[in-house]
Amino acid sequence: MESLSRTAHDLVKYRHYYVLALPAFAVFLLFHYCPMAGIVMAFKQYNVTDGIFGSPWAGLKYFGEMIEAPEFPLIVRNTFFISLLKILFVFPMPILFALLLNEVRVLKLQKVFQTVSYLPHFLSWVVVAGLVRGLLGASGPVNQLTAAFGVKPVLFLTKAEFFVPILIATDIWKEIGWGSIVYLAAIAGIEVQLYEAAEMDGAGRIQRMLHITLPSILSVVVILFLLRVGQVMNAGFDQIFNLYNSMVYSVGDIIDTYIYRAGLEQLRYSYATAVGLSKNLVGLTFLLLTNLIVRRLGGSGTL
Amino acid sequence: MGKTGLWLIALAAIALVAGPAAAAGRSEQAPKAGARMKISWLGMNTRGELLQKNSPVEAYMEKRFDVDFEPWYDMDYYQTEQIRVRLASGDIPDFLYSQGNLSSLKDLGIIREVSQDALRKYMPKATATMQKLAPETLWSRTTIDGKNWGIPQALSISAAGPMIVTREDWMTAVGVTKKPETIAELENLYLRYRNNDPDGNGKKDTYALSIFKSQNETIIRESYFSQEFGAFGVTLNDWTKKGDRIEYSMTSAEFKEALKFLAEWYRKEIIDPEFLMDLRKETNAKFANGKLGAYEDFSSWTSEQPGGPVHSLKQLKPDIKYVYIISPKGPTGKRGTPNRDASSTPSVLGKQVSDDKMARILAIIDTLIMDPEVYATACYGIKDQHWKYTPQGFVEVLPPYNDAKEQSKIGVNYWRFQTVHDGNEKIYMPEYRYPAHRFAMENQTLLPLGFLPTLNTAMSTTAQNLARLESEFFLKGLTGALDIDKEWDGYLARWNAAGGDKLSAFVNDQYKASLKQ
Amino acid sequence: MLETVVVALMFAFSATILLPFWTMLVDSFSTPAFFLKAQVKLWPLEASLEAYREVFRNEIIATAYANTVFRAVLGCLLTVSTCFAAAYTLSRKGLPFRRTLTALMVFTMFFGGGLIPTYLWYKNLGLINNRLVLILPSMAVAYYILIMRNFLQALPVELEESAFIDGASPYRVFASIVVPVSTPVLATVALWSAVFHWNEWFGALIYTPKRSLIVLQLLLRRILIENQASAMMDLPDGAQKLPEETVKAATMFVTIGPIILVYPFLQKYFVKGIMTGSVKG
Repeated sequence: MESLSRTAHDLVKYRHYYVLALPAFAVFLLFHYCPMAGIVMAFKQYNVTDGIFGSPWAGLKYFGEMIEAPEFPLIVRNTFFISLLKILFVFPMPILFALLLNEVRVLKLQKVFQTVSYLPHFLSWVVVAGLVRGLLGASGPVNQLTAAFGVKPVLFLTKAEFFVPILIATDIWKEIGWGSIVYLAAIAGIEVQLYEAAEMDGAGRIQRMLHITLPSILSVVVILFLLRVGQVMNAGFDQIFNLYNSMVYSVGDIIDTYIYRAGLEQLRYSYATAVGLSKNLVGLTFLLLTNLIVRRLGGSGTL
Repeated sequence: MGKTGLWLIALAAIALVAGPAAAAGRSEQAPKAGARMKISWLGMNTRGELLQKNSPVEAYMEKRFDVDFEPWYDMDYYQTEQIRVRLASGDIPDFLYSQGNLSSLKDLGIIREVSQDALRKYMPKATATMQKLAPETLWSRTTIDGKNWGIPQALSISAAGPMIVTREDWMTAVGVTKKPETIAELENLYLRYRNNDPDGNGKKDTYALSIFKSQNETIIRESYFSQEFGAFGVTLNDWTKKGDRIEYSMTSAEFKEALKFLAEWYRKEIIDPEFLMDLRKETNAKFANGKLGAYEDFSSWTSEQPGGPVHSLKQLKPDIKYVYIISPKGPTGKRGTPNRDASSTPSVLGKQVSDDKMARILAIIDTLIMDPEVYATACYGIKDQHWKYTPQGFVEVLPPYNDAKEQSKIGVNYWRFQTVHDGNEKIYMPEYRYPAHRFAMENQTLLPLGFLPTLNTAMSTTAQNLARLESEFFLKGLTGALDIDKEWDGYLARWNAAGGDKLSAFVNDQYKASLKQ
Repeated sequence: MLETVVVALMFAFSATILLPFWTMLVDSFSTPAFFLKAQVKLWPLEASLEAYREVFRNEIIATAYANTVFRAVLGCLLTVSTCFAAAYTLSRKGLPFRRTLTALMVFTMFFGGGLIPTYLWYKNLGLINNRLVLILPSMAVAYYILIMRNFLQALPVELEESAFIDGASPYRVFASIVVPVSTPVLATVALWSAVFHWNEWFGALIYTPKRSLIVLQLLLRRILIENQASAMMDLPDGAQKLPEETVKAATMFVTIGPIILVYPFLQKYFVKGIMTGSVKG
């Protein structure tokens, strides 16, 4: 048939491109797909003697266990709430940072600002949490400042209304610089003539930023956005684990902290696999849905 | 060919390779006649370093017991994920030291049964000693469905409960000469610490009391304000015996009274408001720097142990004197320190271990625990080469062998057992810890020991969930974020709804059954 | 006017970063006693190198550095080239099965075998305690490929058309035209990959536990014993010294120091002006 021969013809025409992609897909096959059969562990009562394929079936038992946990609605709600807020407030910040940094004309200054900005990315959350405790503690600088106005010290980290804003703010501080690197790279690829032409047409700096820089990096923004949405089920275990405490469970307890605290991950591999599988299914669904929406809106750079 | 074909090939490849490989287990080979028995061993490496090959302690042990030890050199005992992945993949040593999660290990098919009879037969002295140390609780951690699955451990030093340490110079500065013996006297002292500027710097920046909260710990430990709770007769996290009934301590009326009392202390600013967030380094700095007057924790941490607040204080003020307080009397005349269960985390044997080998291993452990010379060697190295006895009979480690690197080279800790009894207490305990330990032993009043239930997986999960509820109520109540009186009934209702009533019934049934025996 | 505001904001932001970093740097050069008692830590009034000496006293730190540099360099090179080649392929709009291949790739971002099956699989392949296990599986990263693909899709078509008209093969066009023009995204992924390999420790813990294969981050984590259970029990660690806070600070700088210093060399790839006058008429 015509389409079959056309496909065969295309395969031959594009053969060199397949060769270029071969190493990557060989790696995907060998190191990602081959062990993937082990996902079946989520449905089995794994034991060492019988191995993955010989262990008895458990059906949906572990999924049921997960859903029946009393905190399940709370931790799911918190996970989504924190994650969506991060997508809303944390995600755009590196873009803004890159755009603004781009407007610093003195190149040396720009480089210095940029280098300093990515330093926090290299700190572990253990260290950053220590810094936050020092900053927001009862005797820390913030409370000392408000004390000058007669306000009694507030223990920010123990108050549910402050906890999520603290998560957002510290996440921005830690990742804004590092996150901006990819956007700076995208900006570096924009043709200078576009700016020159716009300037001749009388466009101001902000107009040039909005009408040239931003649209040019849009396809990178879109793909990063989609990938971020796919991670919606990961609200930031490391950060929350190091900052939370019993007083803020109602807003800070997420799926991952619940699993960790209940010790359910330890040695309960079937259960852990079931939870991981569920999280990933949800993440993938979100990604595909968002991808569809963005494509409908006419965006470039979708999957 | 299309997608389907690709999938079929991938699946076939997976099934062919991964299936048989995953199902393969270890096979046990019988030792040749005359050859030494080989025992693979996963012990505790020195923290921060892995055990190195050809260490003098390993040579000593092999000679002493006439076996070939095969330590898991590359495994870091403290990296549990690393070990457990290897175990779960079917690679299991003969002996695994001090592992938690016994029922998970059993369910995964990693360990073998070690009957109480076998323990009494092949490890007679150690078992008898441990039985004396923990008469009621020794087997609770190792019994699953009536069978015994682990080698228990017990510590005599667990009998020393938590206590309070405070600075003598501050006591003098605020005009208190008599050591507090009641909660009222303690409150008086603490109020002065807060209000009377004990460090004399003109600022009201001192607090009286803080506790140690481990990193990212979000459950309540029984050392938290244990003296104050003890003064109301409450042990935290305890299944308290009340006649023929068990009541969970953190749902009892006494707990409510004690918590209200502490909430008052918090309101009066006795308790450092940052106690909730501070980690050890912050608390140590505060105690050393004159921001904190008193600290409550277990005896090792109130001693001059490095890493503790007293040690930090001594670094800044070498001449400082400190004072211990324990079991103050409460308003109703009760007093007490939590009575801790002396039993500790059990060790296990791999599923592949034969009965002969089990007998041999148990005999080795008997000696490791009960023979002082072997015990000391396991802990510190070769006598007079790496350590020596002090005139008082403690152990002094000869530098540089108190350094992790050197320790890993000589092989200490790997064959060390945590079981501590009269015969090796002085060997186990560094000398600096002894004063605090002795003070506790001689001055404490112990509350009655609670019941230690054996929980199955479902009940364990419930207990974990409840711990979260309890800690939330505890901390919010203490810090005044909620009104204890108003919220009490709601808290009990939530506790029961979250499985507390089932757990309570479960524990009570076990208790009744144990009474019949 | 805009620039003034921006520069002011940047200064303020940089201050919030430099202040704590500087304080921690001072900590790493202080004696433990000074660390305890100092209220303000802007200069090490009681300076000492003992914290750094403590860190470098480990003989194995040289091995750790060597192993880490090896995997960072080799891993980075292999990852960037493998991913970029695949990204180029997937950016060709006419490629047959493009959607399918992309989907298969995205799938790997969400689903994997899990810890035990992956460990067993690597064991079967003989990769346990083999250096390559830390490099080969991470050679292909869907995340990187997607981003690189999007960069390439944004390139003007005319760029390559002229070369194709001249009869060049896809490999030739790839190497001599596409690669030079893509330096920003290549530099970005190279940076990401190098930092990943530099910081990664969990894989090394599980798959290469042999002592001679230790990586830097793992060694230092082990020393720091930060989340160890027995630290909170009331049992002392035999007679072992516990690491001071100053050592923790020194450890941090020892790890992040080298990788921070790499970036300024890559910075030139992010400067604008790469594509001036590349295609005319």
